[in-house]
Amino acid sequence: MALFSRNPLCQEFFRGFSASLARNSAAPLPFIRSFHTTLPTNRVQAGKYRSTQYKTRGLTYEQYYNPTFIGFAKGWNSWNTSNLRFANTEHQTAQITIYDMFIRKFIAGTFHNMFVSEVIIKQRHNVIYIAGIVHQTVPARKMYFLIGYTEEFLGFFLKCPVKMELQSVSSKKDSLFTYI
Amino acid sequence: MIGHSCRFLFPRTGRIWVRSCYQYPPNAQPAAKQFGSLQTWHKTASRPSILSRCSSFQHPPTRLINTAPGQQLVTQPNSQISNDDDAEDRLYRMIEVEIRGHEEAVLNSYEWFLCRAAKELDIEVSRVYTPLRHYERFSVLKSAFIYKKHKVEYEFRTYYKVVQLRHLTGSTADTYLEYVQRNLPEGVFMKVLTCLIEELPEAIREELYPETDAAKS
Repeated sequence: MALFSRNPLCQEFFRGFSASLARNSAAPLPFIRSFHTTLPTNRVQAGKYRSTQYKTRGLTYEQYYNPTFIGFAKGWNSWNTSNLRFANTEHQTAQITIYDMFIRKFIAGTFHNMFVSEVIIKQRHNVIYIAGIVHQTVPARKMYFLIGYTEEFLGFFLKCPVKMELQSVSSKKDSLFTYI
Repeated sequence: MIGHSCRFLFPRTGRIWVRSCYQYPPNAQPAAKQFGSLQTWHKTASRPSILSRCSSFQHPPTRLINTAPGQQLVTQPNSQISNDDDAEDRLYRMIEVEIRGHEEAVLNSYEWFLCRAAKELDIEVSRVYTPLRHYERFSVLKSAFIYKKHKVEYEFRTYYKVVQLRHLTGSTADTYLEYVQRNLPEGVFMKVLTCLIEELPEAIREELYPETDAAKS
């Protein structure tokens, strides 16, 4: 094969292309500049984790399943009636969503690296229940203080009773579903 | 009767209702927010235009009349929950509990709970049916800039379930509804439609059933 182009990019590409054609030797392929063949718009990479060579990355059940599995193999993290049809006459969807984001930020800042699962927020009538699985990094007395602190402060911020329903786990490996 | 005449005014059902939303639990904190919505719809004839078409009497904005001839009932139309033992109990012909949620399994489980609770209180469950689910779909652009041909589709799913109870007294209804609403799961919306039985106003009763009044007097 011969290349008639003088363009250095084309020549480089041709060199690599012909080397890959004659790939009988164990020598590594020369570096060739390439371009993206898939549009960024076709790729969906949210909530997905890349697998490792030796399956060292542990994932919880929630992390393992993509966002496309929500409603199928996954539930939701936020349970309220704001998105049901004609159930939200005061149009509180945005407000409830922002409050949920605030709750998650608050929890992340109060329980430093303690939450092993996602923060689940449930709203039953007037009361907000915050559920999740927590790693036993601090002793129980400190955990009780953090729970009381969170309930009190969030109750004042959101103007409604807030209750925490936490479960604790001694090692983080207990929460892992699989390794990829 | 009034209920029957109104049936032809509204294509879906013959009932007029106005949503009366009450705070549940009743003694909640004053600045409390209502996240799990509860709405109680009472049959009322509070729209003046409908009233004028339906009837010619002056009717206070209370519950619509749905009576049978010869019923001698003394009711208190304006009271929601009366703790007065001297007053006679209210009578409900029918109470319809409609629940909505994002998941069918949750609604099925809660419907089992509703029927079981009704059975324990000896309430007749006349009908349990599943209205057609509704999916609300919309597409948004996948990319932040250009690429109009690539979109992402989202949807909201709403599933329905209706449980109809018949022939309840006021105290039974209050007990049942309170118990059932206290155990409402998160993410489930409930709507209660009540059909209260009331006495006919005197003017109409005298006109329609003069012999009864004559017998009384």
